[in-house]
Amino acid sequence: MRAGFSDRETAVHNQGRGADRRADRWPRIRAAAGVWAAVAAGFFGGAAAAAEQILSRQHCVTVWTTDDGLPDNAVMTVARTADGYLWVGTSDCGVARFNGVEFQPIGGKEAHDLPPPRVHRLIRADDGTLWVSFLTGDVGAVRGRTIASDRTGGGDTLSWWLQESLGEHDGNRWFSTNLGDVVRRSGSGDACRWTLMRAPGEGIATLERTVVTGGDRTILGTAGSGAVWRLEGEECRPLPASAYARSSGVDCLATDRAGNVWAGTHRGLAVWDGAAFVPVPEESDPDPDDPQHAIAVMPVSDGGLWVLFAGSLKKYRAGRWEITAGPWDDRLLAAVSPRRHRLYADDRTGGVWIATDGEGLWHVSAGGRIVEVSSDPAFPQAQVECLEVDAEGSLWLGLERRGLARVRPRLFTPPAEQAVGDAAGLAATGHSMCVDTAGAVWLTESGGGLWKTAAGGIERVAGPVGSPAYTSVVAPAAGEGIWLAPQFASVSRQEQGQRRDVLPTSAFGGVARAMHEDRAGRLWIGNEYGLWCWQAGKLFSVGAAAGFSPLDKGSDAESLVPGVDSLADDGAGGMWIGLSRCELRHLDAEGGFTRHRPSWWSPGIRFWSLLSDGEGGVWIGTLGSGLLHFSAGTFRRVTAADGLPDNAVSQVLDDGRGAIWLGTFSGVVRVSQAEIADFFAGRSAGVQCRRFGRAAGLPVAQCSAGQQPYSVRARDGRLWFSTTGGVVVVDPEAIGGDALPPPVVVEEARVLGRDVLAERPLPLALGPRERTVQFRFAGLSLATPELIRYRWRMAGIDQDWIDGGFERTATYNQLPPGRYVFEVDAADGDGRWTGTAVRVPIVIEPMVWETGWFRGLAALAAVAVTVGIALAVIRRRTQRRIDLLERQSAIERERIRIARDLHDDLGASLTEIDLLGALAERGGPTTPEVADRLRSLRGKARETVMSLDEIVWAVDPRNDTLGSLGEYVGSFAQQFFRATTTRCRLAIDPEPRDLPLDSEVRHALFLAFKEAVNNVARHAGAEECRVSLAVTGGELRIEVSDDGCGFDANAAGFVAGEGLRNIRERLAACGGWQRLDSAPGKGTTIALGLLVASRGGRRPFASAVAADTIRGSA
Amino acid sequence: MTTVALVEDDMGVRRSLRSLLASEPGLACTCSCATGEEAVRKIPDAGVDVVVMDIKLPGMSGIECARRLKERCPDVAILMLTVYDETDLIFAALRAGAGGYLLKRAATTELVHAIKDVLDGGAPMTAPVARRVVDYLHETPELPGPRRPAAVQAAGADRLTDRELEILEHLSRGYSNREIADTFGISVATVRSHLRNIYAKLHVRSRTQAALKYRGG
Repeated sequence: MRAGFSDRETAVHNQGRGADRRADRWPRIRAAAGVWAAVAAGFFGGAAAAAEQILSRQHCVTVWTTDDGLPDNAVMTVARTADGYLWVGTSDCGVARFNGVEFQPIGGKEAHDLPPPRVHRLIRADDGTLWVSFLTGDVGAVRGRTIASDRTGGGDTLSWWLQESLGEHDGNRWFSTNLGDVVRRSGSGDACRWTLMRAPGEGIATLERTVVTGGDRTILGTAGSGAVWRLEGEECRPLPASAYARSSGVDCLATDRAGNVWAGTHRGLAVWDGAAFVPVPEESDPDPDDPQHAIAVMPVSDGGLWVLFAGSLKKYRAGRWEITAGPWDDRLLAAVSPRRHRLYADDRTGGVWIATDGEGLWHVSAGGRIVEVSSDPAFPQAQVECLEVDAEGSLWLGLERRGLARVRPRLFTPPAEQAVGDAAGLAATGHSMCVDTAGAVWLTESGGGLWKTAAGGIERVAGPVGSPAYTSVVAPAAGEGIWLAPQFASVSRQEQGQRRDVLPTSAFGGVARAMHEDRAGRLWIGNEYGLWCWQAGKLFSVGAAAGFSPLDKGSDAESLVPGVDSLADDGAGGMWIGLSRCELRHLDAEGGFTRHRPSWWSPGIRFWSLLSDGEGGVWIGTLGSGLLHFSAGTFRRVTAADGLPDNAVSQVLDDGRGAIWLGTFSGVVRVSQAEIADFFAGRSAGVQCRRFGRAAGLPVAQCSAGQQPYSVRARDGRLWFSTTGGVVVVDPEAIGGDALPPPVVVEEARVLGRDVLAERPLPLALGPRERTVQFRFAGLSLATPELIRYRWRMAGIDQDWIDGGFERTATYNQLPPGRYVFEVDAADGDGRWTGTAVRVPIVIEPMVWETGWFRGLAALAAVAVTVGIALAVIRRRTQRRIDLLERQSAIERERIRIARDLHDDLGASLTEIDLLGALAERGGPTTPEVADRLRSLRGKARETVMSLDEIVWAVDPRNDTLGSLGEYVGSFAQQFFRATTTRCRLAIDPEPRDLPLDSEVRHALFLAFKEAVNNVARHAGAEECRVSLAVTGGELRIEVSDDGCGFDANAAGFVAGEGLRNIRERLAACGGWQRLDSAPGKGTTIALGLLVASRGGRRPFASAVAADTIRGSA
Repeated sequence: MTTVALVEDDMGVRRSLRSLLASEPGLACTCSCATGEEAVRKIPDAGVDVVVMDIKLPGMSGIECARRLKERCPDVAILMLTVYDETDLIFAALRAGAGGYLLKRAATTELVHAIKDVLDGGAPMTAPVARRVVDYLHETPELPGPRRPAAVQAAGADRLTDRELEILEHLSRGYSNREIADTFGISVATVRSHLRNIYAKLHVRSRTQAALKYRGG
């Protein structure tokens, strides 16, 4: 908000905080904030300020003391730097930095345990550096949050202290000292030197001396007793007498914006032209015997000078004397005192603040009005030690032992009350008001009094009218005066100081809520019982007969009577009627009523206040549904969701300058009509409103809602509002343009309890254990810091802005590793964001196990381990299989070896036995017995060899095939039957040749087969024996059938030989079977069978192992 | 007088066989070798009618020896002695040029008979061997290369005639020579002569295949 001082407002106000809204809405947060503030006080030494707010007539004064975090109540000096911070130098506790809410002590780098030196002055140099001058003679420069010591004074308190900056050039800085000398700082860094150049002049009255620097870098100073010296080189030389030839002795010097040096001389104002002082002529001929002694010259921002003479205060500007300020008070002369330097500050609008020594704080407005601001009883009584007006227009005061004060003008001021004798002032609540045809504003108050504007203020016209507990309603009369309708009394007409009763209110129920006299002279009265019309001495109830129909049935109404909440003239001879059940009615000039309801009708919405918009439409303020506008049959509304600060709108005014002013429950709101039009047309998504609360001077933010109307626009354009804390008046013209939203600063980033922002460079690198960060930030608008809202986000974590409200800290817990940027933005009291956020890039270093390469390696390792395990498992399995196969083949080789060895050794020997036997038979005569025995011997030998042969065949794994079995069976059969009379016929088809057959299986089959052919040879006596072998249908079948005599297997006496049984068992053990088919005379068929297993498409095989699995079925 | 050569590595068996041969009128063992190499050196010059060869010999195998001898002296009849009745070995021996085989254990009683048979043109085959021969000769010979050698194609020297095929079929079914002769109404001598042809074809096929293989076809 721009602090515009109007010419009329000159008193001092205190500034409200706007905290009432917080208190109303967020009591818990406030309490919690209070607790945490108390806890945090220990950390910072400066808690969140809960400063004292003083609201006096024209200003808001906020005072901070040590209770609010100020290090020391004796504030000796204040300065505001370009970055927005306010710096405070205290008497005993050093320098503190103020961001609007908290004080942060600023100390030197080395001085941790020593008490901070006593501060004399803070000086802001032209380049923005803030210099600190201590009472010990030390000089420091503020760098960030520390004070870099620039000169150590050696503890000598009689050393000089810096007073003002005199400019900088050629690498040297020039300062004036408190005693009126000049000191020069040359060099830079550690090699700087401070050189003192003493000014001439005697003694004691050094505090009255002034030293200035002109635009041409000339340094001039007063030496006391009227002399002026000039700095030449390193010496302060008094000026020659020719310099004073025309002006006379100089008391004080000042430099204006343009760099001209002005002198206050014994003969008035003079200007330095480079060689001498040239007096400035007075506007009127001065009396040569009684020249005006100019004792103080105060340049202001508009280029003029306020010159304090011995008996007047005048403004000189642009070559002429513009204004003489008044009313003059001799106490102003106390502005110049030998006890201290002059204290005045340019108020940036052309006026000046003057702090006198012991005679109070005065303000001279740009127009010349002099007001003793500190005379207001609410103003904190104190001597002012320092004062400065900042760029936002706030006046900062260092109060002697009373702390830091900020003075801001009050935009909303109460109307000046004329003296009313014994009676009390205007009551705080319940003010119905209206403007009569003469332009006077009439007010009623709860308690019954009637007030009227007069001569710059308001005066009480009549005492309690009606019941003291209620407020009356007033309405302007068509002629002179007003209508007055107190509750439970009589409606009366007030004109020319007389009041006459017209109508008892009991006639319409005792209470009127709104009144309106139309052009035809009818007085309309509206209340909860309906609409009434008083005409020509008669009161009519306006009902259905007249066109004022009851409410619809089914509209959830307790009664069908439409209760009236508000009446307003529509500017065309008709009247708008706002009902208490969300309905609008219109009475046109001919007397016809129309009714209108919004599409979103709800019975609880009361059309509380009406204002015609001059174009046939009407603004409607509702208590809870925002602002409505009805025109051309359509209702449109603006609510809190669309940007309206509050949905409870109790008063609506048009300021005639394109804005609508609303009295709401959270303050006065100003919206531009163009914005509303844009919103209604859909061109924008919401409305930007400006809300004025306690910070602007409203004693209480809530605007009253009572009888209509509670606000008026006076003839002079000022707007009167009734709040629950009093009546306030605002001049819409005085509300200046919108100031820029405040700059945002991230003050601290706290990790593990330490502030790392000051220690580490950006981007902020946080180690793996520093995962929780708390950011503390501040929007540096010191005018209304409590209204600043913040929003922040962490790019990389948050998608959207987090609206933090008034919170000044943002905490992020357990941030995962990565790169982020923390952004924070601030909005001023009007809700406008700066748009440019402060960015703090941070980098969270990952823990070792979180880094990408570690994870990648771990994943690779996991994969490798898995693969390794799998490979090991496979290898072990393969190894086992290889071992198994090796063992098997070893066993086989062993088998073969055994068999062959057996056969070779034994077989060869047995064959030899046979040969020898044969030879024995041939050679020489032998007895038949011997021949017999020899024959047996040979036979046995051959049999044995044959058995061996068979064993070898069975054992040799190379014969584990069906082909081998088939051939063996065939050749055996052929050979066997050759020695008999039986023919042998073979039908051997061993296909597939390479069908694997286990040794056990083969052997079992062959034995069974051998037994069968033996039986044929022994018992059958057959001529032919057929042997067949084939695989059909998955079964291997060997058949031995003869055409012999056969036998009856079932005959009694047939007992299977043991050998046969064994063979059968052996065969069955392999999963095979044997069947006997015989009948006497029909021959015998012995069939041997074995299922040949085949697994899943692979080659079929038969093995003892497989036989086990099939046995279940056999 | 039939001259017989003996190739047997076992000294005991060789002595016994020599005695046996000596005791048989009409047979005379004029050459006796212990290894295949010795046999290949001595026998072609010895001019014998029959060679009785053990299949298992140290160094050069009996089958290889039989093949070489058959190349050098195509007219000599070779009788293979085998310990086992292994169809594989026997078949290999027949392909190599042997005219018959004899189990060692049956050597005493049947040696003379077998020699006679072999001289006559070929000992009767056992059924499994006959089956093998059928399979071997009845199949179309493999094409060893992109083109079948013209000589073999033209000659068809290893093709079985229908009669030969029938005889082999019967043999594989267990018929004896006499039974075959009775079945076809031919003389046993005719059967024998067919057998001789069959053996010859077997040999030819075997030789041809080997030649082709060595020629790299």
